[in-house]
Amino acid sequence: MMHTSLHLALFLAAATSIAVPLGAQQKVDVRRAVTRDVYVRLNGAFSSLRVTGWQKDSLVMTGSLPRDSRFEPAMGGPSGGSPVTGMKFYIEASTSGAAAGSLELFVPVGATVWAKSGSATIDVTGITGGLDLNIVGGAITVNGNPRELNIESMDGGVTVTGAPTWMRAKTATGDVTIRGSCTDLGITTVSGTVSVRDGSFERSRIESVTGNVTFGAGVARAGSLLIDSHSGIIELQIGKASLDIDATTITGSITNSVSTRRPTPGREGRGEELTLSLGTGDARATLRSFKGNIRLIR
Amino acid sequence: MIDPQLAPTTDDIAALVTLAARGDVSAFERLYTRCAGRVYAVCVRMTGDPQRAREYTHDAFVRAWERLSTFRGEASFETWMHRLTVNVVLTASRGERRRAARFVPTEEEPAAETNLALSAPPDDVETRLDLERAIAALPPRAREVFVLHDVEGYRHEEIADRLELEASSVRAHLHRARRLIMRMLTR
Amino acid sequence: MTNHLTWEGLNDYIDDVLAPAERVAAEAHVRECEMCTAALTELRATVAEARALPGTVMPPDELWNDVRTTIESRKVAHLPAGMASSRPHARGWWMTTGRLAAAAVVLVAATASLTAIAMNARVSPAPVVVQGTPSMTVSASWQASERVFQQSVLELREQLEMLHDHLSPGTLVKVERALATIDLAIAEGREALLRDPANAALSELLASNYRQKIELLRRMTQLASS
Repeated sequence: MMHTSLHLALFLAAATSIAVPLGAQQKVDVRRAVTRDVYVRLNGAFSSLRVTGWQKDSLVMTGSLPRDSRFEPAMGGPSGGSPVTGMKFYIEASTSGAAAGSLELFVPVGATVWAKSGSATIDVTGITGGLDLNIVGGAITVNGNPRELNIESMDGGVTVTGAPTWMRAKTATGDVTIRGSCTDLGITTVSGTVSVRDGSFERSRIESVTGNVTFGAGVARAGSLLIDSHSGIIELQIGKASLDIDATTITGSITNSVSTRRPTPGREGRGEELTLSLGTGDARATLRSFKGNIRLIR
Repeated sequence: MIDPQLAPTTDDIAALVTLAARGDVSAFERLYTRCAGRVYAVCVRMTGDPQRAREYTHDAFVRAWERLSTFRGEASFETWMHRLTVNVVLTASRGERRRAARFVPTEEEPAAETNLALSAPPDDVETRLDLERAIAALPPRAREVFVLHDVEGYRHEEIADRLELEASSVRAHLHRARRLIMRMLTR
Repeated sequence: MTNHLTWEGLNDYIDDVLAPAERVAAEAHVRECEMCTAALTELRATVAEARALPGTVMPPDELWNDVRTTIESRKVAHLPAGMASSRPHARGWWMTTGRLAAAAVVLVAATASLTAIAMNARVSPAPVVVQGTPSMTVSASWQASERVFQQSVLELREQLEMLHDHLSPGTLVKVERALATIDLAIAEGREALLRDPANAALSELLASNYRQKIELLRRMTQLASS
């Protein structure tokens, strides 16, 4: 049946714009006035997501998805034209097997963004609110100073440059690279490598099973650093830090290149132990390894 | 493929229900043959998702198997299955909405209309959608209301009761759904 | 001519829910207004098209096999009238949520218990001699915590197996490899702790590995059930 009435268009003009199939792709274009602390939740099949914090009190999501991929936006908050306080986007995978789409999201800098997908690259810039990012594979890159940053990945790599106040990163095999500062840092990995450099960290806890850990940043005055590893190598780059260091291996070895103090044999003659105080010992570093070696270098 | 020659006649239904209620799976299969198309149609239109529709169709028949002894025969078996299916779909939808942690969508009032200036109507549609696809593309709540009212013939009050909405909200969802569908079908 | 009908008015008109006076006014307007008449015609046509949709849509052919498998299994049984269950048990994703939550509570308790044991290793109670190995002792509280942990891991493993078809094969392989890595570390750590049960650093390293395993299983079951 043909629907060509121009008069009908007057009644349809106020309809909400929704994603309309266009060839093999459907265009995504969502624009809303939102509160400065809007909560945005994005879940489903996307291959890349770029999130940018901006100074406007509005949310814009653009991009393209496979034509047969179901895209469901929903909003929360008071009705009657007031800015939206929460938005949710659910993207179902294409049934035809087409590759997942790409999305770009602009939100107020103070927004909280929760994003979850399978294999995806997520890039975030300029958010000072909260971030909760969850992938299986792919990569997550965050630049900026979010108040809270929670990242979970299986084998996707994680790269953070900036100064999150509170951060947790958990991977199975994905590598974790942090450049910057953090007040409360927690990193957990099974076999990914961990590298923490530059800046100053107040409370840090890093756990690895087989992945190597390199800590080359500062530990804040009265701060603490704890690194546990089963077989991964732990390397602590001291620099000019003022630290009390307590290092223990069960069966591995400890190499000290920062002072003349030598490690002593561990309990029952296995492994090694080393206690060291550098500078005024303002902060504390505890390094424990089962069979991975521990290295202290300048 | 369901063989229409296996579909039982009305006279057989009561006998089949009795047999199936006693554990006769073959009898239940014939009931399935009779109703599966209707049940699946309701599920796929209310969800807009063939995968979920398949799951809910499965669940509806399993529940029917569990509750065969409660079928009294006041309505036809098809009507009984239809009501049971709608309950399955709506219960699952409510569960999914509750599981959306830290986010509770408001009723889908057409508040977005106030943001018209930011979302221009699409003028580059090349493919005309058929009605089924247009229904599938509706927002979830609007789709449920549209399917129950315009496709399945429920009244506003019945829908309001099933969806736990005010009648005015049901009307709002229905009007919005119709507007969206007509917009999608218009060149 | 009276005012044009609003979109709501058009819809209420065809649905016959206008008040009598409103309906009379609407009909009078429509008789004189080509635009509203045309809109009404289009709207009625759309609704009629919806009403005329086929009453049936054929489900996938193999669906009956799934239904039959479920109803023939012991999980589903006829109920006497008045004892209908809330939902079929076959597609258990909804049911795993509650069990996962319960398992998670136990896991948190187990993890906390292990951590507490590790933290207090220097003042742990007198060790209990493990039968058959006089030279190997381990604290009773550590043993108790380990049992809780292992039970919780078992439950989470069961949940993950139920949900395994919700994860891609590639993801499952990665998960199993990671778990194997952790299990090897736990095995080595336990063996070492049995030989040196008062070793605080060793207790804490082992607790760390247990936490990793719990966390990985939790994340995967959440991923599978989402």
